[in-house]
Amino acid sequence: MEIAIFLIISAVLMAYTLLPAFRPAEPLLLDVNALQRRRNALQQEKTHNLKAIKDIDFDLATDKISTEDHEELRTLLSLKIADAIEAEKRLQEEEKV
Amino acid sequence: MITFGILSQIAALFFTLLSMGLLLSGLGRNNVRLVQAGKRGLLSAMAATTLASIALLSLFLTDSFQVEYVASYSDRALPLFYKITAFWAGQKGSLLFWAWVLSLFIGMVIFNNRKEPDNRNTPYVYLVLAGTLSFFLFLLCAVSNPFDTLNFLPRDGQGLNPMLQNPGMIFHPPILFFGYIGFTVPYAYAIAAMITGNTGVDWIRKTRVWNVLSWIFLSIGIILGGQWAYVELGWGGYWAWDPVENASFIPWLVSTAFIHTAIIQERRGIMKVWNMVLIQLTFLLCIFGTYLVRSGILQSVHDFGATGLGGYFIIFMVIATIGGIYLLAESYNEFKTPGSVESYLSRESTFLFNNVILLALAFATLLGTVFPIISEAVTGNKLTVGQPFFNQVNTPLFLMLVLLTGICPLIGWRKASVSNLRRNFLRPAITALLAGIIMAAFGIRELYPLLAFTLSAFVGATIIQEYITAIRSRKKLSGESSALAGLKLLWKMRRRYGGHIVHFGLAMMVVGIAASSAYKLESQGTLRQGESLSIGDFVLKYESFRQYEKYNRTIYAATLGVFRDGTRIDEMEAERRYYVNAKQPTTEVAIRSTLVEDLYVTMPGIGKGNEITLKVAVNPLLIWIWFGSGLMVLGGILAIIPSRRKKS
Repeated sequence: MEIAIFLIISAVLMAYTLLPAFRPAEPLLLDVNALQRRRNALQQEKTHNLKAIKDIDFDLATDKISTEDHEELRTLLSLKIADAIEAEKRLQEEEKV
Repeated sequence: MITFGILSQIAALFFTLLSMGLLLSGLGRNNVRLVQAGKRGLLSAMAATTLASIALLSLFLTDSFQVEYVASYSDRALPLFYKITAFWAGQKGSLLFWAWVLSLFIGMVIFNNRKEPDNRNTPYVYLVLAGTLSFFLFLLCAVSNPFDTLNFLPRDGQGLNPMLQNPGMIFHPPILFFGYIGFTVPYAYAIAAMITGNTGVDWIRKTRVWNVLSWIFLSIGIILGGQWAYVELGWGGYWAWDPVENASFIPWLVSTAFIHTAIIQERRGIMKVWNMVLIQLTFLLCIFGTYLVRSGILQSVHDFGATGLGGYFIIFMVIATIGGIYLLAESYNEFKTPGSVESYLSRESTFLFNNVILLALAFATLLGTVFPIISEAVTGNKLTVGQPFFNQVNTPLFLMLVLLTGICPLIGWRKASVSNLRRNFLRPAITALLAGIIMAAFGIRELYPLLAFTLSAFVGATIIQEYITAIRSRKKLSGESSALAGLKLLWKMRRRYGGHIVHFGLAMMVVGIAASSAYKLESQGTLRQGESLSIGDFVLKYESFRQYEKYNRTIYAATLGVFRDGTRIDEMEAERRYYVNAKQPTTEVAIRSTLVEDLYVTMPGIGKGNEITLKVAVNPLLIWIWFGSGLMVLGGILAIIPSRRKKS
């Protein structure tokens, strides 16, 4: 009896497992290409720096950094974001070409 | 049920291996259908492992003593509750529990990713998870089968070790295992990221909840273990640097370091390689912890059953280590980041220092733990290092860690100016100094306890100051009341304040540990009925004695009146228990806990005419350890509550 129940359950699980393998093949979502990778990296760069600006704003509000340091860091981070946006634009133009 | 259990384990291993084959061929043939089949294979393995676990549970519940594992850890008189927990009381059941929980966690990962299309990364994640699961299932099928039968049918089982018949033992092992097993998920994502060269922060973001949740489970498991030792073992302490305690503590230290540097990677995009190292180390140490508990290589109070599993664990760890090093070396250039920590006066640098200390603590604890193995290999004699080694090496490191915990919230990211630091540190430093002076005035002169109290005050003050400043700044911006601003800050910045609550809890624990270790009072005596024993401000009067039966044990209980300044303030009952099938009687501790101190009583002996021997201790501020650890867990939970995603 135990073996019979086990065999039924195993058969059901086997069918459940292998069912997708009998469907028509489809490719995996391929790894992003070099261009896409670059775009993702720029996107991450922007996100990081935006978050960093939020952090230093909070740090200024809670008096953890001086106004001068805040201004210097904010300018630096803003420039980095601007660079990333510029690079993204260049990338888009390259793609169009 | 025995055959059903054995077959279910074999089926689980079969489905796991089948799934690995399907995932690999899905990758090789670039076919998403095969990957989907591979994932289903893992779900089938989960179902089969669940069936095997149900089979073992039912064997315990039906007193099937022809099964060697059931006969070893249960008996007819064992209460139902403990029959269930006997599942993980020994090595074989623990391994099945490991495999079962891991299979459930894999099911959760598949469920969480159900809406995401499969790319080239996900099959590798499942492959690593399946590889780990197959290792444990192989051990169950080939080496350590919980369904092994005896060639005779005993009339009764040997029963569960009386020390394990404690509510703490119901939750301690499984929760600790949840922690160990949970770290398999971030490890799998990290390995997949290295294989596919996904250098981004995705794997850290995706596994953040797993990281923190596993850390929380590990913390709760360690705390429950400490509490079990305190209320059950009867020696008056909660932590003895026992190898198995250390086995859970070492990955806790490394995972704590990882949680901190993962924040830096998320915020700054740096320390990618270091995070890969830390998560691999955490995983390996979790496996090492399981190995240490269940291999019997080191003697420990936890060594309830030991067989020759060591070789298999070593092979698994060696493969994982070499594989990890190879992948890291291969992908090093991709993960290497040009960014760096800009200033020593920044939060990043305090995180780095905290990493150094946490890893030094982990290394020292590991060295002390495996020293008997090393000494036996070198000299032929098994030499153990005791509590003094761990206390001498780890105490100063811990105090430095507490200092950093206080410094961290006051320093901004990237760069902090000296003038700001001076302004921010002034009040907490004065508070700490005052605390130190007050403590010294009350007669506390020993260096370490004095430092521990002072630094804890510093941590508490920095956190409170940070919170108040943030509330003020929010009030200024939004015009909200202080209470509302405080609550909103706590909720909206729950990662930050969750972390602060964890640190506050740590400071409370440090106070409790320092006070209960340095200022513990102990006394011992033999009393006849009506006689008294005094300790500190307390007098314990032996008032009455009774004997009764309960569940599977005979209990001898002495009632003690607790007096302070001549007034009877409470009553305690110390017990000595004789369990059915147990060779030795056990003592049941009586504890009277207040915020100020614990009165701790054990009754190691009963003589003629019900004369009793009592061992009594007063542990100052011990309850702070449990409160502090509770706060740490709450803070951790607050930090992982997900935020509602805004619809774009």
